[in-house]
Amino acid sequence: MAHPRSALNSSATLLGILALAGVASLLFAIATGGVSVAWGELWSILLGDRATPNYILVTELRLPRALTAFACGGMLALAGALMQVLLRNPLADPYILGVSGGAAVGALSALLLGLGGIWLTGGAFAGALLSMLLVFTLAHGRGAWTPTRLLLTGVVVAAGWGAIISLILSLSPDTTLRGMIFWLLGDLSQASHPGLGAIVLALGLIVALVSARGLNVLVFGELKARTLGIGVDRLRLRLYILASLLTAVAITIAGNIGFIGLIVPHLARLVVSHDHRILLPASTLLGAIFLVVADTLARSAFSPLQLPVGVMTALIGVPLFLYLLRRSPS
Amino acid sequence: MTPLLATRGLDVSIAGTGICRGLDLRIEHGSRWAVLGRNGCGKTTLLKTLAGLHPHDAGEILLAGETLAKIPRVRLACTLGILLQEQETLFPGTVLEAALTGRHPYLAPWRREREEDIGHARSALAQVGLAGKESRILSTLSGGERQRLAIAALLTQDPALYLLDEPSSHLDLYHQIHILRILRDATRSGAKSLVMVLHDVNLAARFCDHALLLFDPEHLAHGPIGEVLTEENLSRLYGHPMRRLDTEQGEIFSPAWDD
Repeated sequence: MAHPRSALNSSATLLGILALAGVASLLFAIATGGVSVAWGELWSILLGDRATPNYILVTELRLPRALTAFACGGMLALAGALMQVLLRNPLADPYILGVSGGAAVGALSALLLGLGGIWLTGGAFAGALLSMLLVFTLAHGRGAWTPTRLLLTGVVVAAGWGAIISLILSLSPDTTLRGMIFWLLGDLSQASHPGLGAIVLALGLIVALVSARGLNVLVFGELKARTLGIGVDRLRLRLYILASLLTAVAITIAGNIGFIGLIVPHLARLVVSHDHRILLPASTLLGAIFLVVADTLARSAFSPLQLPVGVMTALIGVPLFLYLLRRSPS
Repeated sequence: MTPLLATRGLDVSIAGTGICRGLDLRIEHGSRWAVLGRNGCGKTTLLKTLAGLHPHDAGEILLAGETLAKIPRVRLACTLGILLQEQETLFPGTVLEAALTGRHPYLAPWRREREEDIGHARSALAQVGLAGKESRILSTLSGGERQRLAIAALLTQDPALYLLDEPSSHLDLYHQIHILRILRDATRSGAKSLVMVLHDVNLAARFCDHALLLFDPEHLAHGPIGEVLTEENLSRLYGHPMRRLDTEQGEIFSPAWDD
């Protein structure tokens, strides 16, 4: 551990193990459910044997859903890890700047008007972008663009969205309420196109990794980072926008899944590393695995009843996190 | 020869309060400057201005003949380093990782630290007496250890111009002398210079060859240390009568004890 280079190498091994665990979580997800698929049959399906009885179930329902969960979990955890450093606040999560509130208002408005499909996703994404724009413009204002200012603006804007969400819920007929509650708790049952999420996640991770050593220095303070040659304002703006976009895409695909963006980065700091070159990919993988497993349990634990995945992320995450926190040295 | 750092007609202020007016400094290669003045007279702000971290109202700052504001920040970080008064951390890191931040300007964004970078950091830590504590978590360090770690990070950065805001604060007597010796030795080659804010006149007299005294925004004194550090100047600077005592160890300044 004392030698940072060997520490980096052993962390690279750890990332490899996490990647394998990611693959294992996907296999678990496509094998588990109301109908379990045996490993032998699963293998034939993956090799492309269309004659297998559960071929359609696995390739058209479970695999896209599992891959979507993988991408969304990764995006949320990466966004959370970035927000915590940028806002210099360990309590920050991807939703702290109000992106989720804007998305929820967009999505619920669509549901209230009886619109679905593209209107639902389009409304969510437009709401998320609108909220992002609002917060960045208001926070910049006349004064300096500090983390505290941004945080306060975000929290206040989020509170505003919260009020509108309550208003929409109280105006809605009972028939649409259940759909709204599921959207608000996060729901992957509509997921069918994992490609977009995967591409956004991959691009986001590359941009984040190029800035990772800069973030390591930024941890020691803004002035210190400036004196070490870092363009702090540009680095921050780039990563704020990245984190907000990742959040907007994840929430558009999967609804308002809480908890992952807050807890997974801390989990990665506790068990993996606080070097952002390792922490960012480790958070991404852990978040991906976490959401895949949580979603699989959410749809299979009380099958045929499906729980909102957001309930499951918290039910697994809270005890796991508290256990690790208690175990870790100081 | 072009001085390492020069200011011409420099006006600096903070929050509407003037700090200096028309400052003309020439900091030659290999020289060591002390900046002295009372609390709140703007020593830290002046130092930050010289580092390009605080805007100035008028005049110019030249680093090796180049306008400071026009030097790309990564190249600037390889030439000029500053020790700040406060050290922040957000998440726990190790001592060696903190020292290695000094190598950041020398590495492309995607590059890892090389063996020689780690070697730089280790030898800087050894110099300030932190050998064997490389994997300690920062929050377990004492105030003095943190100060020495910050100086080790600056030595790891290895700039030509060291700007230091109270390098001796939090340090016990042994480490005050030890650290100032290290910094003096770092400038011995003649290529490097240092400018440090100090509160101890005797440390300034011992380790520096030039001094800048900030009486008030309109009145400054600067020059070779022997000419500037006089009873009269220091009494005026601190608003308390100062005496120069001749001892077998040379001249020592002491406040007059008249009660």
